[in-house]
Amino acid sequence: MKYVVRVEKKKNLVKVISDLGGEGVSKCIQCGSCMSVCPVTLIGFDHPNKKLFKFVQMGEEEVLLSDPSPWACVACGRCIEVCTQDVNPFSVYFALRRFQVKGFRIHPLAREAVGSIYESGHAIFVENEVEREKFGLPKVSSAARSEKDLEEIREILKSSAISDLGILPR
Amino acid sequence: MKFGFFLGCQIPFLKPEVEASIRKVMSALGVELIDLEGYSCCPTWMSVPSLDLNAWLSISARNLAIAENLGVDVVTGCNNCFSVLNHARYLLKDEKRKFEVNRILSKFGKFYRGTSKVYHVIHVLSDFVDKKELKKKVVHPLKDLTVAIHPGCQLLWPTRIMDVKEENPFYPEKLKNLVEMLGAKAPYYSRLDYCCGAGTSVAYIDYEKSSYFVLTKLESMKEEIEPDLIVTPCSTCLIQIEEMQKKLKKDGKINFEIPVVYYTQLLAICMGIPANEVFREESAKIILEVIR
Ligand code: SF4
Ligand code: SF4
Repeated sequence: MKYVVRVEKKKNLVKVISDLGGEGVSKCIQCGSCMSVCPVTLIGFDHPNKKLFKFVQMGEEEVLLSDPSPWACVACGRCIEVCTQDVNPFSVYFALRRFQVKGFRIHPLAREAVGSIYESGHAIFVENEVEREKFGLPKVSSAARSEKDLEEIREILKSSAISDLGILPR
Repeated sequence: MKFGFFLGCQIPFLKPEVEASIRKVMSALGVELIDLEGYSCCPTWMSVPSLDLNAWLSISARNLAIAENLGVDVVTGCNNCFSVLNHARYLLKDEKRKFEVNRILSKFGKFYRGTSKVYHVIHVLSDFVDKKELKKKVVHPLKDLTVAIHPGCQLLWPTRIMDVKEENPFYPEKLKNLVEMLGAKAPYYSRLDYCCGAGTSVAYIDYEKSSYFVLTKLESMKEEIEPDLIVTPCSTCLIQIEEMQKKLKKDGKINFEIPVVYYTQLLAICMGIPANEVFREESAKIILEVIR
């Protein structure tokens, strides 16, 4: 006897996640190869890679909006190398971050880093010219030292969807 | 040989000694590094890429456009910048994405073509610099030294986005060969390719678990190869291993501490560049003790 479980699709999340950069998600067949090499999974985080991909296919929006694990991905790229269906699991993970961001679930660290890039052009910025001079290094030639270049970075951020999140400094 | 030098954030602001070592080593080898005027954060994974695809690709493309205008390929000493910029390049092969990005860049007269490749310092040393020339410059070879190498994930995967790649990234050779060229042993240990746990944000989500990555790594190398030194080509890994090793020792989880250096810092010393020019004072002392 055959059992067929029919899951009713709640919402077409495959399209939403694809548009956010996770185009491969519909191809996932739950083989688990990605999890077998994922360092975040191996170290004991609750990092249910493939389960989340299934939830995308099933349209389970609430689970996907609240699961913190996409933020634990270390962007190591191993899963891309081994995925049997060329899903690019890493990209789906980052699409899930962006999906949560759209629902205003932004990891505080990400908020801070983007704010810092807006202010200085750098995610990490420290005044260390004296120390640099000691090592005989020139001034850092980045946007942090050039108003015109910094304005370009700000223009990019302001003209993107990030401006809708209310996290850019005024 | 000329490259646009993409400094990123961590190296110039937190590890200027690493920057000094890259500049000195490259200059001694006749590789010209050109500073990229007006560059910004790559932008790192935990920032813009986590929020918006288009803004990420635009900022990366803007950085690459600066190098394109100079007609040079890019070299970076940071695994994270290497990974972010190459992922962006890979995605921007899609004409629609490229068009969208250029629509934004054109507002301030910039244009992304995709002509400049992005290499890592390790790639320049292993694949571009003449091996014999490099060997000739090593005037103080290392003797009786065992090194645990830690290439770092983002230098190895995914190979499809890279212009120089390992034959098998799960058994990487490039850093190993570069260390052995200095006269040291760089034996395999089972967690050689293991992640350091810094990545994008794990340390902020769960600091304790993040330290397990380093603990696993340290226990494996200690037990299997007893290294005198850990060598990495990634500034993020360098900071993570240093910091977590101290924490693990304080917590009583380990009873040893192995010095960690960036590859070009070690290479600089072997080339006869004074240690205090590429290390901070305390580290210079420790390192000289280890290699003498
Ligand atoms: S890129 Fe992220 S999800 Fe993929 S293996 Fe690495 S840590 Fe895991
Ligand atoms: S390796 Fe690919 S197909 Fe297999 S479970 Fe992971 S994402 Fe799905």
